[in-house]
Amino acid sequence: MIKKNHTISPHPHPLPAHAGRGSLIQLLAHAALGMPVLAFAHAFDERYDLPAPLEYFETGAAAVVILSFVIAQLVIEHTPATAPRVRRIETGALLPVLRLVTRALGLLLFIVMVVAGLKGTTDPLMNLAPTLFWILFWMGLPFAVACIGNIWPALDPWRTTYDIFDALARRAGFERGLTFGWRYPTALGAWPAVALLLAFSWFEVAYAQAAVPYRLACVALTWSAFTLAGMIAFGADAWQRNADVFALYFATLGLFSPLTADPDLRGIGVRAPGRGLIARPAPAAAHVCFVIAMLSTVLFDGLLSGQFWLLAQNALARALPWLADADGYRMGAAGLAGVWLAFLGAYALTCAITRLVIPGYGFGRIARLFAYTLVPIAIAYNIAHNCANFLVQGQQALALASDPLGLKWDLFGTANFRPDIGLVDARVTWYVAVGAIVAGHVIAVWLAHRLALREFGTRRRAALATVPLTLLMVLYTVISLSVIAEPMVTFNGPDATISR
Amino acid sequence: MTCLRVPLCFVSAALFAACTVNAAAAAEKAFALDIAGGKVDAAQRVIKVEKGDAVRVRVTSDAPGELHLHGYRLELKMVAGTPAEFAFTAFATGRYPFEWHGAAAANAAPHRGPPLATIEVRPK
Repeated sequence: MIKKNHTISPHPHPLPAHAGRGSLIQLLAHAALGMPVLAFAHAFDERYDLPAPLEYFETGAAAVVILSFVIAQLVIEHTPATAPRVRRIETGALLPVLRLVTRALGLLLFIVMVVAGLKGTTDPLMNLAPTLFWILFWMGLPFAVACIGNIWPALDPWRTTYDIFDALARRAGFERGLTFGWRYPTALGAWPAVALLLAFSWFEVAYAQAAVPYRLACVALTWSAFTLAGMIAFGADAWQRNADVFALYFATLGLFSPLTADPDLRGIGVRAPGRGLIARPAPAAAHVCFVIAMLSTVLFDGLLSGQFWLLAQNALARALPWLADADGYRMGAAGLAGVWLAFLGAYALTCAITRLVIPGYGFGRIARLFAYTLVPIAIAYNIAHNCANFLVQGQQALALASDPLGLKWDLFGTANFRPDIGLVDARVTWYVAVGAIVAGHVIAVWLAHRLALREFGTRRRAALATVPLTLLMVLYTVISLSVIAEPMVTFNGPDATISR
Repeated sequence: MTCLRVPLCFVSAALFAACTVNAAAAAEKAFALDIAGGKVDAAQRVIKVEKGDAVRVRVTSDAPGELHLHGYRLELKMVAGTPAEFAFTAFATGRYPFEWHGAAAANAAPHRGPPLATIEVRPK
């Protein structure tokens, strides 16, 4: 069974001043019973989500199916097939200044994270590094990028580091700057990014020590060396377009967002959310596989905490005994690859069927045309799966800002702040989760139909072409609903004492 | 804007009613966890309460150790044969694991394997 084995040192903390309602009662009760009033560190990646009840799943799934038909009808019959509109706002010198500040901030945060990881406490909860990286960066930033715009190129500490040394090199007389100027092999394309996304997801979900601060810092430094070497070898732009998994991930999410920056940073483009996803097809097959990986990796994270994965593991272990290692690493890799390939296969089948409907369009062309329309489903699932966790665990960042290394500092006076686990009620979480998933699906279906209308000319062809893809989206969405709701988590009975 | 006042009144009244409807009296609920060999009986493994309930969990163990309630961050140091009790208000919804750390396996693989039991605090 895949379990994160955290080497937690359960050292007790003094009773927090802000421990939520009932703490006085607890204190008195414990004092009366002579019990020690100590609190302790839980595992870093613990989630306290309640799976949504069956009714939420059923309502969500029904809404998804019904709305898909309604939207298809509306778009196909009533929309003029015009190009997406982009409004431009002049911003003068604001963006360049903002960019400079953000670059400095990004680099600073990265350095603080690495120092905290290397020199700070080994307790993942009391060290800034795991919270900064896994909660604020990996859970929070994708949401911010999708809703606002792709700010990663400014926050990217590796690009900032490279650009600093590149500028220095140019000053020192190197015409090409800090690069060997090798040509990036076109055959390789964006496949390294696909492999790296799957590897990173394995690191996040299956690897036991992903939240250990020292390990995290080491991995971050290794990645830094690797990506800087790549930028030096092939030039920063070529490298980041193809092999930098973070750059590609946030660039893909940024296609959904309503705001884009002009290349000269003198203005902002404003467009309807999602329009960027249908402006251009995916450049290559690797990008299609990357989008499928985005979808499958976020779903795998949720699948892992359910009963379905237990059953799958047992079946896999019986069929291929060498997969069952003690730490669950091989099993995790198999599961991750399996889910990715299954989703890829489903998408490939959909494109093959669509091709039958549209003569003159090859399989590859259709696959690349529609791949990005799946991104809203990935974003929505990210929100559904991480919203509550981000709001509860993210609060710890307030305390960690005052004591990043866990050495009992108090830089801003917030070191004794403890997260309020009651901040988000489960019912609110269920509404947000199901609402986000349904909204994401609706947007995806809408985009697919707009694209088909623009691309295939006649309304009849567009209507036919989008049927397989709409069905696929319904499938992906119902799967993501079932992962956050009880059907997946407890269908094997009431004894669902699963923990991660 | 008198045309807005009447609907606004209705909306406020509805919201107020919605808030007060949920202020029903919180129940007192008692449960037991009898730990034998680091495990409890299947019937005791899932505790279900509602938000706001006053929860009491009476714990007995055949071996010394510590029982942690994650999330709420409560801890009981158990002595073999002597019952002890968690008493708290379930102010936060969610699903929280009870982890047992037997004195014998003190430092062996903490937080590995399924939890001893789980408490589910459901919203009202």
